[in-house]
Amino acid sequence: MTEAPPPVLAVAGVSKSYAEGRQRRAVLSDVSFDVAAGECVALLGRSGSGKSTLLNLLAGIDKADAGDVAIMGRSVTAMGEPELTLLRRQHIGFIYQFFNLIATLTVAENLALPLELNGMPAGQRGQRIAAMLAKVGLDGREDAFPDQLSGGEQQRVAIARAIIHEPVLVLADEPTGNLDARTGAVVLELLAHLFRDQGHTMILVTHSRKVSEVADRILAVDNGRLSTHSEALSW
Amino acid sequence: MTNVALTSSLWAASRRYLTRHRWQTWLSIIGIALGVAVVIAVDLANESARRGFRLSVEQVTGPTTHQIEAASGAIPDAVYAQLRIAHHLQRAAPVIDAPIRVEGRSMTLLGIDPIAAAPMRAAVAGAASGDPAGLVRLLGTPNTLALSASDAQHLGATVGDEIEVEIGTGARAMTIAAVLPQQGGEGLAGVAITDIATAQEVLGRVDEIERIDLMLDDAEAAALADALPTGLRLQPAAQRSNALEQMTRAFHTNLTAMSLLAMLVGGFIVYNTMTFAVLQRRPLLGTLRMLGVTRSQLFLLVLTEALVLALIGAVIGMLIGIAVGAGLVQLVTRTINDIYFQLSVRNLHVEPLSLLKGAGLGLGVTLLAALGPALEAARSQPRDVLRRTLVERRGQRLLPWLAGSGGLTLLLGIVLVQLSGRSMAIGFLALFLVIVGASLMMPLVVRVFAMTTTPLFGRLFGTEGRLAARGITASITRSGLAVAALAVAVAATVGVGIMIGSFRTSVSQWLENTLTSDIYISVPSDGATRTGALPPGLAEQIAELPGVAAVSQGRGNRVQTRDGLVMMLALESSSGRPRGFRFKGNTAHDLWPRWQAGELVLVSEPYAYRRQLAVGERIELFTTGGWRGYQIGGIFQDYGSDSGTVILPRPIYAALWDDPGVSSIGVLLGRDADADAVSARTDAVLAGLDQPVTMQTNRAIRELSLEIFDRTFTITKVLRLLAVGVAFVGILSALMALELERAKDYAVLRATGMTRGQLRKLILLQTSAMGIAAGLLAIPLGLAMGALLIQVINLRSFGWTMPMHVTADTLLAGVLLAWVAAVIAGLYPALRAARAEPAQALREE
Repeated sequence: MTEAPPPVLAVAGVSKSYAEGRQRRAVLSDVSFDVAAGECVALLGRSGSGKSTLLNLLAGIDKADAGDVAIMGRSVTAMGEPELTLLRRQHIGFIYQFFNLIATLTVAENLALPLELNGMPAGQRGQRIAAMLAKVGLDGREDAFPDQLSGGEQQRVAIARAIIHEPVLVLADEPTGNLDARTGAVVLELLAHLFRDQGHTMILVTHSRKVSEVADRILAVDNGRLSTHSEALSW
Repeated sequence: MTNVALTSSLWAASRRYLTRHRWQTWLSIIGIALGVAVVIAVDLANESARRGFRLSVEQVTGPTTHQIEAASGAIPDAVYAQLRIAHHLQRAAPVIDAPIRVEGRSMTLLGIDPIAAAPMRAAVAGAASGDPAGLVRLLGTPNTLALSASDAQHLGATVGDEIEVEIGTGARAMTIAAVLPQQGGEGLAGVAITDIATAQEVLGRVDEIERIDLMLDDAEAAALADALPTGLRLQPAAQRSNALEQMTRAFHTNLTAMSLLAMLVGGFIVYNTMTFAVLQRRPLLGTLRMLGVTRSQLFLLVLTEALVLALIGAVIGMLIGIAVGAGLVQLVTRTINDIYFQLSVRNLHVEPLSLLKGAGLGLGVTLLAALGPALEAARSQPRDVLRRTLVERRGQRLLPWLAGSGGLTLLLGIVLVQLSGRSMAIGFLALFLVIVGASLMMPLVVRVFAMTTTPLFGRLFGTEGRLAARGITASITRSGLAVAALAVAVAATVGVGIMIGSFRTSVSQWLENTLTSDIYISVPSDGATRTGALPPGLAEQIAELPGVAAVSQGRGNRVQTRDGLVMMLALESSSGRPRGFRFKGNTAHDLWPRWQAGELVLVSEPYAYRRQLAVGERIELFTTGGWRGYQIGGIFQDYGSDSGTVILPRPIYAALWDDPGVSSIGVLLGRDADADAVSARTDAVLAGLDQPVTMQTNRAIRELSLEIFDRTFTITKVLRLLAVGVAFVGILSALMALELERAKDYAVLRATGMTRGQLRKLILLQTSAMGIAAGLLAIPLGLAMGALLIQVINLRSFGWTMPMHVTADTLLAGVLLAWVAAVIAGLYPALRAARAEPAQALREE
């Protein structure tokens, strides 16, 4: 009998609370789920439900009070700062609501940064960037600075930057939250297309039911608890 | 594996950030450049003055190894001849030198015996063989001199021309007998050579020489020293120049310390700029951390940015430093001429080491100042992407700790002062610690100031006033620092102002107390060891004039003590004991009778301080009869010389130093005497003399002395202004940063109906508040700096004590200076913010 491959992401019994004055407010309570390779999972929840906190815990940029997060079988919770930095650099890609492109770098340079950090030679970088820009429909805009692009274009650059170094896991936090409906739809389609096409694993955090539908599986986050029944959400 | 190398994209991001914020970047560069420039300028000026001094010593002494000097400051010609014959001195030459001025340029008149000096001075030998006719003219024609080719060219004069030579306050025409060829380097530039006989005549020192220059080996020197008659002394040639150079050491050190203050203020600017750069890029740094950039890379990134700014600043600073140094060297030279000795510095000598020191210091201070922001950048967390105000909050939490450590640093400075005895270096360290300690406390104080004055500002200026005050607290990590930088510079102005004011008051009171005569008659002083003398019997002649109540006579000469030369002042008054002394502490029992009897000597305060002498202790003086000990009878207040003065009765001095001459006479008028009439009678007596003599009233001497005093402190005032200039750049830089940071807030205010005028008012109110806060904080720090400068630095540097005089004007001027500097610095940011389009600012992330 062949053993099933380990999940790309394994979350087991994770809890997180924050101090509010003298009391502690639970943000996440005993959250557990796995994400298999190539799977796209949406974390759906309203503002303040704890979904962004969960995303931070998955990326290792925040520490859980209890439980464990493992990426490719390695416990993120147990990692030190240098290891976490390497993990993010090599295996994780991020997409933010507010793009977070580097304003002083051109589009091509923004895309080059993860490759440079991973030590890819300059010659190979050029080809990879050109190919990626073509995929996101921004060929010819490599020398533009972020403030010369529209919101949709900036998010497309952000998507390209998140996957250009071929990470095993992409974390997207409200990727269409800062875009109008039409542009959001275009970006979402691109995202879905790229991930289906390239087989990336992705966690998509959103408050929008419509956006979550692009995922293979939806996990609803409500009052710090996880449910597979998004219909049961209390809003 | 994580690495610390910076990738090309990181470089590009950093470079473009700096170029996009070019105002900020350039202000920071200017801050560093000004700091470096001041340090370099002072160092170059100091080095040029020292070099000028060494060069003139070299020119005057040549390759001499030893010198024979007399206790009285004069060796009779006959004694020189006897020594030469008795000890078979082949390489020995008689010398008289004195400072002169030719067409406004300081030069040295060097009287030598060209034939005796030729084996010892290559330049003289070369000139003699190259122009034997010139040598003959120099030897045979009275009143002639030889100039270097460069000096002759500068004066536009040639052989046979007459030039006007100022000696002391007199002048005479002398003929150029020869022009010496330039022999590489600066040769004998700045030296006018005369035959020894001519020098004796023009300097009024007939039949005597000042010293004998010798070239001896150690054995010859030891043998000669033992065989010299009493009253003559053999000393290594370097000893004399070292003693002179030592006199200006404290002066040079004080200038250097002043320049370091400008560098310290420059450091504040760098810290401010780099903190702002980190703070503004907090989301960017968070993004970079998300992308896998390590802490070390971010640390390196910020330090590299600072290094680039420092390098550009250092290069610009070097150029400005050289330009400012050229002006400063004149001020330094003038001060040395005024208070120490005649010194001629032809031009600024650009010493590469001075440039490197200044640039290195600039780089060091910049990197040190950037260390905090760099560490802050390295502490960036990926989650900071969403937390823009984190640093500010963290900074605000740190304020009490910062203030606490500032308090401890300040306390350490004060304790150091108490424990450091007489060390000047530790005195400066203590001053530095007090400044740094106070600066660290300032942000918290500014925050409290802004918080407590918010209601007042609100009442006085409405919403704009309230917003202005709150804006200071909201960005206290930067606004507090800007205020601290300005307060330190203004405090330096206040502190130095208090020191100069106290000093001037003390000097003025001292002059009033010391100048007890109404009219002073003196031989034009040429700054030589021993000046010429007034005609014998002149004092008695003046004393008999109608209206004259009493005359006092004085003789000045440098005499040898066991540890160097000291100014000897021999006094005699026709009315009994000398007047005008103010003693520090107790005096010996029966002071005046025992002093008149030659048992006691009076020493000046700086002399006693430097040698740690007290009343009752003994000093040894080299007289014509050899070494002789004297008990100190009193330590008197004296601001005339920081190298010290000893006073003996003139008859005692005249006998022991074989110097019956009188170089000055003080005339005290009778109670009802007509001052003008006595002056006219005195003038008539002096007109009959066949030598130049000057007559000055008490008031004229006082005015001249204070004029020289003010001139002496010109350089201090210039440096003080430069420090304020650096601080001005600092506050402008901080305000520009705050304006950029708040662009969005201002846009919101404009969008909600605030007019351009209101916004300008808001920003100017804020800068006014910062300026006033800086001015108010500068008062206590300025007072502390003033007290330290007077009671520690001045005392340890020069040996002077003086009471501290603080005037309301000085303090008010400090507050006003801070306010004006802040308001001027706020003008551009206010105009810029008011001009900005709100829509654009709201769009920009």
